[in-house]
Amino acid sequence: MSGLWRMFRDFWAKPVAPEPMAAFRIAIALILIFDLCCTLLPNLESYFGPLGVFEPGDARAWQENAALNKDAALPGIPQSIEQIPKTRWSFIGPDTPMSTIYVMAGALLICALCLLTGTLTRVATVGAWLILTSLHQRNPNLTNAGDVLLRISLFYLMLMPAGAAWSVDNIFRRKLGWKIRDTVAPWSMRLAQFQIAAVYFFSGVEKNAPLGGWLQARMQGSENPPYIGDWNNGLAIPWALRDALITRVDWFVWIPVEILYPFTLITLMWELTFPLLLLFAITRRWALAIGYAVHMGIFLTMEVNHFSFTTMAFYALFVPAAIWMDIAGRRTGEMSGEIEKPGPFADPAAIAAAKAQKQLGRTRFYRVFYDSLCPVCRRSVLWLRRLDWLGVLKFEDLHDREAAEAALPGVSYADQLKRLYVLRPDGQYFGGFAAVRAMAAVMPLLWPVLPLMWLPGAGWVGHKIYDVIATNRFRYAKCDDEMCSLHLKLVAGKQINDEVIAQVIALADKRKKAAIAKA
Amino acid sequence: MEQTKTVWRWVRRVLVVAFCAAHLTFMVTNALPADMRREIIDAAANKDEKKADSGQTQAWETVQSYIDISRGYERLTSTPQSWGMFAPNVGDESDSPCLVIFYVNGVQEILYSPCQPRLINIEPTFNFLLKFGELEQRKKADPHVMDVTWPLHLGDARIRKIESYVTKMSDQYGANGPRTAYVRWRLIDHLRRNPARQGQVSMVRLFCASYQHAEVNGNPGYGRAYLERVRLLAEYRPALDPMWPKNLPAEPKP
Repeated sequence: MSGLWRMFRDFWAKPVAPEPMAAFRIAIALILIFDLCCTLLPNLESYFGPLGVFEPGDARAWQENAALNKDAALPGIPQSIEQIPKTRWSFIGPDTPMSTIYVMAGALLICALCLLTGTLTRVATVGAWLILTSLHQRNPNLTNAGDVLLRISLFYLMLMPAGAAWSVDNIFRRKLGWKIRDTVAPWSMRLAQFQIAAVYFFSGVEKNAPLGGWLQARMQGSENPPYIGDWNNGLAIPWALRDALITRVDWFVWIPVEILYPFTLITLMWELTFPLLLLFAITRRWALAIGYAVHMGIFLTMEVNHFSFTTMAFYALFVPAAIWMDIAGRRTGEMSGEIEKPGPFADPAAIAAAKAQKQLGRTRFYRVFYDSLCPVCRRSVLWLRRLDWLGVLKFEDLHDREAAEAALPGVSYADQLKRLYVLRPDGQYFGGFAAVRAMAAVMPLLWPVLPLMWLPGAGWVGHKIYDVIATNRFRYAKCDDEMCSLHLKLVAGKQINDEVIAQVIALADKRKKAAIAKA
Repeated sequence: MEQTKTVWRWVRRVLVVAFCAAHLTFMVTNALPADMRREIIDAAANKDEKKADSGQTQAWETVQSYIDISRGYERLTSTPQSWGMFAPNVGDESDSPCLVIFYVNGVQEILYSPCQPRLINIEPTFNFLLKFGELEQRKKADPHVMDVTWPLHLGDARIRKIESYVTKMSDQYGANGPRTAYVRWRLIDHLRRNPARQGQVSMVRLFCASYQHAEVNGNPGYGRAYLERVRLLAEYRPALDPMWPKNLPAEPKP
């Protein structure tokens, strides 16, 4: 019981790094700026002006009664407009002139820019929430689920210390000599995490609603049970992709319906189990990876405005702080907590190196161990250098055996010859496909495909493909010297035994001596 | 001083805990599907009926008050929790508003929705109004179909949303306002783009064209959406609209 209580208390109260909240803030700010600049500002007159699609009487009805309230038809709920309480508030009323709307929209853009840079973050968030809500309530008929979620995300940002990292606020704090917070209270982040879980779960419940009636009728032996619903018979996605007013592209029209059935059912199952999948680290990755695939699919095939991106912005709150810190380098979060309390896989040498880097104030590197005698590996490293825009990858030769073995305890020299290894700054190391996946987290060009690497089964498939390529790399290699071709022949054997290792070591030593002699 | 700090820390903790608990409870309550909420209220009402003899009839009121409070919180924080996207069914039909402009010289012009894909096999002389009033008249060989095969379609999702509202809204709460606004907006835009037609408009009718997605044995089919039926939503005359801009002549001067 005490263990459960401790878990509960830690979940809600144990301070966490502010980077995930800062990432959420930046993502929401970008969406807000994009929405303002691309849809709202160019169409302000059409959307909210008296000669546009705006109708003051209708807006007044929205604000003054529950005309479109889903509870209006419930028993016991007032049925006439007079009995229904006011439903929505707004600083922009139905009769507010257009000039005021323009001023408010401009102020919203300024707030969004402040949010992006983390300037007066809390004030900017409150301002953005007040103005965006007011704007939406001016003409609620224009808003969709994405807009509602954007508004809700601003509400959570008001509660979050989102300016505690990656912010202009921090620069000022530093200049004024004020304390910079390494960790912050997590409760506001937890509420936002619950929110996104609720979005998916209740969406799944709504989609699954016809199943209850269908099951009941079947159990009662009815020959004509009610319709089981588009989602349970697998037709929802095929129908949605054929909705002429929503679908964006036509390719899916030609995919046989039977192929799309499983996607419908997987989506429904994923939504219903989303809160459960979030409980464990491995299933959490799957939940987010499937979510990414679903939302990118929605964005590419359907016109639902910024809904997909607003939803995915919440995913930033689930990405481990260590990843965000790696992306930020030394500019923020020194990982002091992780250095002092290393994880179970942490390597003492890596901890010492991280401490040394911290003392030196240097960027925290991802140490990549590669086979410098292998031309394919050298070419791969060349590509990795090009993709390393953040400059966090540090390439080391695995033939420098002392350093490699100290950094990767438990990984034999033979294993290192077989595949690429990466040592993350938090002390964890990865080999093969897992190494590529770990590096992708700090290579911006690979971010669009990174979530797909975490899909269920992607690791298994990825490892198989990686191993096939790694084992056969000598086939693609063009060696320009005898040493290289000899090395490839040695490591291309099915088993790398002690004899082969001895020969490879001898080769490496020979090359080292040659290099010294040349120098 | 230290004591004050401790007290303040505890007050803050209690406030945060109370807020988190209330927020999560209200969030879940408001996110419940309407049917489920109806069942809860019904269950409370039944409980009251059973206890009516003993004079204990508070369950319904308690549930009702709680729902009112949670709704009030939702309104205050502007955090509506209706997450029934594409639920419970996606549907096999699309509604699209169409404007038919009647000019004084007898010519009719159709303005399709800016969010609607182009129509194929429509002859220039096709009289859209012939479809008006006909229900369930689609034939498999009907040439008046919407082409839903196109490489990329980028529309205005917000206008699509308002068009969906304009076509689907009930008349219960004075629905013609948004429809009038929509027709006025389209007509002003059309006349500004075509100055030669200014001062020539006699009347405008707003129709709703429903397109049934093609199906094969009850399943979604391929590449076609059939014009299923046409409904008249509203009639509009600029001269009778007090909001019509004075500097844009629509109808001929008497």
